[in-house]
Amino acid sequence: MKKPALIFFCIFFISFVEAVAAQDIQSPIPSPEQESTEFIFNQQTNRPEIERLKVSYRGLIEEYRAKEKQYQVAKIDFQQLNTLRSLEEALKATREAMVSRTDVLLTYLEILKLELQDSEGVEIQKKNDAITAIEQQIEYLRTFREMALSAQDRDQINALAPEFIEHVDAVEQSGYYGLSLVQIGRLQAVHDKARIIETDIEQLFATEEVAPLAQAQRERGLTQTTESLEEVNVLLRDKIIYTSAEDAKGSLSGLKNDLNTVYSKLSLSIRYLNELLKL
Amino acid sequence: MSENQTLFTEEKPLNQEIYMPSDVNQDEGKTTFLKTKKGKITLAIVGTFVLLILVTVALLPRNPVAPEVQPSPSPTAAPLTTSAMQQRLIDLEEELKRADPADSILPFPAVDMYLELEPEED
Repeated sequence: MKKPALIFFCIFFISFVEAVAAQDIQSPIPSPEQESTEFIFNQQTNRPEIERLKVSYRGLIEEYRAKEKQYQVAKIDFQQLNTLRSLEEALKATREAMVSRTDVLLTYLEILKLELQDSEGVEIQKKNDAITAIEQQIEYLRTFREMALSAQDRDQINALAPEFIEHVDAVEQSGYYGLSLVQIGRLQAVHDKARIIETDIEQLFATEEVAPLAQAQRERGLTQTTESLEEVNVLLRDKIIYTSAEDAKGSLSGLKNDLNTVYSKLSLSIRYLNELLKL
Repeated sequence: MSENQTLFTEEKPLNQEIYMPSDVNQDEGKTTFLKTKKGKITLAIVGTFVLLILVTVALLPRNPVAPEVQPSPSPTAAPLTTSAMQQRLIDLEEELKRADPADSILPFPAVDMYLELEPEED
């Protein structure tokens, strides 16, 4: 009777000792520096998810077009025939079109949210506000989708339209504002990198000895490039300051025109930088 | 008073009490106890316990060494050479193309926001 007890005691004791030893050699708690490094490396991890969602989005848009056509046909049939059967068809087609539209909007806002998270050139406060607004609309769209799926009779389907219309502005606002910030941010990121390269070229020139004539050419070239980049910077800063969520939809076409100007000027600045390297 | 005044009162013969029969009896008792079944079991338990303590001491690392953490690749400064700058400018041109506002991102979906079966009654 005592031998098994003794063996059991030994096994238990050895297991305990091993567990204690294992705890002692566990990896240390990551330091804040390590965590921040991880955060930096994880910042650009949305790209695969964005690409996956874009593929899904294209399919959803096609599906929506088909559902929208069915809805229009069913609605006209119901208005002309006004039979129970046409009513049933119209109810089904309206519900399916609404669900499909919600899927499109949901996926679009998801893509936009991830694009914004990856955006480098956007002011952090504006970026966070835009992401929060998008998340709120995503949440609403999910709720609306559930409501649409559970709506069965004529009254319930008819109640969905005014319910959604109340939120249309907020959905569009979050989408257009996010879109504007992503577009500005991309150009801002290119501008910031161009500035760094310009500084590096200046440092490179400082280490090289050239003829006075070439030196004067370089100095003039640098001045011209600095002015060109500063002009881009001012334009972008104005866009960031004056772009607001409230009028993002209305000002999108104006913004696109302005950003086209920024794009052309940035392109010119990069050409200057290329030329500078050959002087 | 003692008759022999050359002897001290408390005088005792030196080394006269060497033989201690009681100690011998104790040793004999111990030996006897260890020979019994109970004694053997107690000895085995004590021995095992001592052995386990020794094993514990051997297994526990005195100075636990943290696993070496590989330093994360820190962004190194780009070399200041003409060819390196040219490469950076080529990359930047590519990035600028991707940032073209004309076709850089998906436009807001053109969906009918006002789908309805019957107009709302006032």
